[in-house]
Amino acid sequence: MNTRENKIFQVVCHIIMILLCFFVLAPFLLLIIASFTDEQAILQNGYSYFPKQFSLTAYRYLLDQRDYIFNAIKVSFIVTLAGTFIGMCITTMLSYTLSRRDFPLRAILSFIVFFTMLFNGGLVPTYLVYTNVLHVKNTFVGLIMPGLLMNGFFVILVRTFFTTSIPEALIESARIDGAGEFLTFFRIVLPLSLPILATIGLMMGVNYWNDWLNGLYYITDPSLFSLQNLLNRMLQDVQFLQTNSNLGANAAEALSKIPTTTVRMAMAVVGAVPIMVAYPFFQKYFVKGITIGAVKG
Amino acid sequence: MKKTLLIVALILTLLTMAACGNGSSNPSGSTPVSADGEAGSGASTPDNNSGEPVTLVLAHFGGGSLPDTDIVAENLSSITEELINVRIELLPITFAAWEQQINLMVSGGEKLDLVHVMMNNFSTDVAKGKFLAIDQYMDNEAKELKEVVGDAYLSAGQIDGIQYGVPSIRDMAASYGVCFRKDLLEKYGFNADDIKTVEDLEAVYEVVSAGEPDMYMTYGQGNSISIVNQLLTSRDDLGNGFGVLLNRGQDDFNVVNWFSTDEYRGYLDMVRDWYLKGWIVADAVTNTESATTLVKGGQLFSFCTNLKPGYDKQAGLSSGYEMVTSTISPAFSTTTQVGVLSWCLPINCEYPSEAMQFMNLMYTNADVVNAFDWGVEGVHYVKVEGEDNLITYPEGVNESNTGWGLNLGWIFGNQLLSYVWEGNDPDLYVKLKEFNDTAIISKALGFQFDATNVKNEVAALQNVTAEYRLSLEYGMVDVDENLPKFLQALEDAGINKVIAEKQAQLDAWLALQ
Amino acid sequence: MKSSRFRKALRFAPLMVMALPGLAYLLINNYIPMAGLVVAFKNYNYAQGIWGSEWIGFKNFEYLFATKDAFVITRNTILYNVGFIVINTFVAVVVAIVLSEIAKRVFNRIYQTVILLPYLISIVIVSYLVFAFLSADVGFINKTLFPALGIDKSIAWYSEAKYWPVILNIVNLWKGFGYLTVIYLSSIVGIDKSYYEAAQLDGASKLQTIRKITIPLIVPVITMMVLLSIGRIFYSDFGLFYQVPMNSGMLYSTTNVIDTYVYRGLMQLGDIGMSAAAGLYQSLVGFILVMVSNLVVRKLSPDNALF
Repeated sequence: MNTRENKIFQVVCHIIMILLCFFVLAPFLLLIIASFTDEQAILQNGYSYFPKQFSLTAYRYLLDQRDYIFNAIKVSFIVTLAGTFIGMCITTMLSYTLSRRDFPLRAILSFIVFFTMLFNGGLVPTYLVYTNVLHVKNTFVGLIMPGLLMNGFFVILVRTFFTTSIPEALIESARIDGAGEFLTFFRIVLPLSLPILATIGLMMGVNYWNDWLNGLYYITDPSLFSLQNLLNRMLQDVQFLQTNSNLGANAAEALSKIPTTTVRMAMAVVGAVPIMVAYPFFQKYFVKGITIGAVKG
Repeated sequence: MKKTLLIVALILTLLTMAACGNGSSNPSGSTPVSADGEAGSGASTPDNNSGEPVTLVLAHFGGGSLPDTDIVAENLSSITEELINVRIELLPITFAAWEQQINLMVSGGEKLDLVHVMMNNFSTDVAKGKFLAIDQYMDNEAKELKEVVGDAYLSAGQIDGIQYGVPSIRDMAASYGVCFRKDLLEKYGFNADDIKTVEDLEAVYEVVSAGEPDMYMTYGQGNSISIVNQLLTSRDDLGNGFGVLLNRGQDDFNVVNWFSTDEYRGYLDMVRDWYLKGWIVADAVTNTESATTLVKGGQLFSFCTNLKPGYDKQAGLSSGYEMVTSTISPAFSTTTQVGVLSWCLPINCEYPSEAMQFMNLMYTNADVVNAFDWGVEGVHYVKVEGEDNLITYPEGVNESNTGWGLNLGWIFGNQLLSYVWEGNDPDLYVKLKEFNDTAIISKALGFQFDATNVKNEVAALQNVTAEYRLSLEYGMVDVDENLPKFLQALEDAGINKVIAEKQAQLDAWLALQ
Repeated sequence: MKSSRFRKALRFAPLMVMALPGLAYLLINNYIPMAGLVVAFKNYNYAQGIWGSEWIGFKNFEYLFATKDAFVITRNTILYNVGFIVINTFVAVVVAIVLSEIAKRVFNRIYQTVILLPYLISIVIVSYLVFAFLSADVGFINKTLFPALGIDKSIAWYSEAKYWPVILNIVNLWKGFGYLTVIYLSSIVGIDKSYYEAAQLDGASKLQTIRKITIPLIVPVITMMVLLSIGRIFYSDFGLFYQVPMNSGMLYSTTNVIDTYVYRGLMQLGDIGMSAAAGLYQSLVGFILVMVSNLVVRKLSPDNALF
């Protein structure tokens, strides 16, 4: 193909992406600006990209709570890193087994995995298993294990990648050369799978970072609250108090203690920033794998 | 082969480490043992005879950060240990997580000895076997409590004559009215004491709105409780509002459909008129700010709310302006109001007798009440110079850095025994008691509706009211068009069946009185 | 022959060992609790526990069907999910292709980072953002945008049900397309370069290359994603349908879905059996639909079927 057509195509692609970026970033910008806006200015003039009055009150409030928030960030980090690492290990290994066409139990095991995506025992039975049998209440395991460590979706995703992108001939020749399954897996399959590893690593990481349900069910010790747990409790407390009419005047008392909208926005910014900042660095780590194929003539 | 084994071993070790090692990073772990290591001795025997103090786990609402929970619990325990040989472990749980976590803890049989319950769920929770019956303790361990609370209020914690919960003592009645900005009210020549009826109110709004065209006149307390509900309530809603007794339960015992009454229609028309005149906050139903925030911002002149003594001072603190209140609908007590919050023993309570002894203290011992309400003297509060009853922050402590900012006095035992925070009327609780004692009492006080037989209908009705009620009661939609739809939807969802069931239960309850 | 079966087992033993941690997890996390599904058929009593509570057959399911709203919520749930699947897949595939064609590495990274950002924030905050745009009183659109465009009136977005199918689709797209794009992109990147080289040698144009090579080769992933979505077709993102419309009653006709209906109905009742029944109902329908779709796919192109 000629270079002129190529150049036009590149320009079109860039235009599309830039427009998309605007679409994506516009609300974010509003979020950040709103967290720096004076509460009264919002009430009087509405939300705007050019507020009449800036204010740091929201962040000052958060600064007062910084011990709490720093601890929550620490918890989030530990849970995310540990959970993602362990989760990726067991997911990729299971997917590898399922991707091998010659494995006799392939169909059955695939079904077993997939079935779990459709049917769920529900909250109470799951909770009983984790607390009464495994005793994970108020432990890090309680934040890492339930629901998030591995799920059928990721298994199938990786499995599909393995089956479509790793030529069977490669594995065959490895076997003929006398390599065991583990060797094949670590030396051959994984290095070729960096794109999908980066992908599910990211998705698992985000799932862990944003999760607040495990914290809701299994944690009562405030030193184990993750960042999102903290934020969501605050937001839902507001809803709770506003909805319970028979608390009446008492609710108003309690409501006045709960942070205002701008503070909630500030908390949301704080909740999203670490991961927004961390993501490009991790991406850089895997960029080699992803872009090896992305550069085209 | 060696490499394979190595890798497998590595992975298994990692997994085992993750499973066990992480668990020890948290001191309180998952087995409920009191913070300083004293195991609840004789855990298998219900009554403790060995002389060792018994530890009770008490779960309560706890919004916001409470870093000094252990210190407060220790302080409280030192008082109770001396009195009844019991130690208390406090378990604050945020509002949002409350229902979920308590349900799970009870399902899981975890250690939980004392818990408070909100009225919404009380009868269904009892029907589901969540609580222990406490009749047997009422004349022994809880003797003083019984006297202080009184039979009338205790009846709100009974189902079928059996005692399951004890309501906390706070504002046991609700009066409804409006809270105004004092400066604006006086600017236009009005006096809060003169405003007694809705007509008086309208006259005020008429004048003030003309003078302050950019301001909203009125609102509810938040987006989910309508003006009609907060200003014009004169019915005993018998638990869930589907089938009520009119006129504060003073007349007969006919359960009626409130939404189909002429009274209701009249209110809707009035509120609609107000909305069209621009008096009500435009986004009433979805607004995320509370009324006091709007007042603070200068957007709102007044708001409708249910009242209790000292409310004007409180509202003043949150809104930054001096506020005054007018009562439109005088105080009355219903089961719902009295039983807003009751203390119960969940079925996994380990030491019911000790728990009831502690509950007794909650209602009779001022030291216990204040230790919970306010924390440790000198650390979280100090008495105001020369006052016995008023307290404030110690030097260097304020609202954002205090270690025990609970401030939910109304949940714990007998609030009348509590200290008063500076800025409020020192005689606050005296006035509160008077308020309680002089309120009109619904004749149906003590009746609890059990929804088990009409579960499906109630679920459907909740959806119907969620859809129509707020917008109608804020005047946001046309009444002629939407009220018939609402009524029809209620009928389709089975409101008549629920009313019939309620009537039957009410009649049965009356027969037992 | 005993020895050959034994040898076969031995040969595949390492694979089995690799699969073991994952399977063990599924056993603990999913299959053992599944036994608790029986609570959907019981009148759950705390004192009796799951096993001791009495059986009441299908009574817990009645509230899902006996109501006039049943049609509305089912219709809404299905239509929205179909719309989401179609729109999000389309946009994600297009964007993934566009991204894969961008030559400069730097831009690629920047774009990828940006489009993933909405995925990172919680839906409750998204609902606040939507409110910041749509509020009748303080919303950006009514207070700033319309006046700037010379439009005099203001729309009460939270009171008019008709706008919300569009609004919710936009919000769902905004939040979810980045995530999908990354999945498809990683699949495109995995395509063997030799295909493209061959196409280039043959003188194919860009668009031809995309149509004939890129798209067909990612069809397996697309199929898989669509099939998986079909399995969740009776579920909805609770945050999207409850938080974003701010639980406004006037919008129910177009925003009430099964999950929100169950939540609203059971908030006061707190009935565990009834909510388990709802979950079971949703799972069952999804399951049947997926099995059927999978069969269809298996007939058409066996490799792409889930199993």
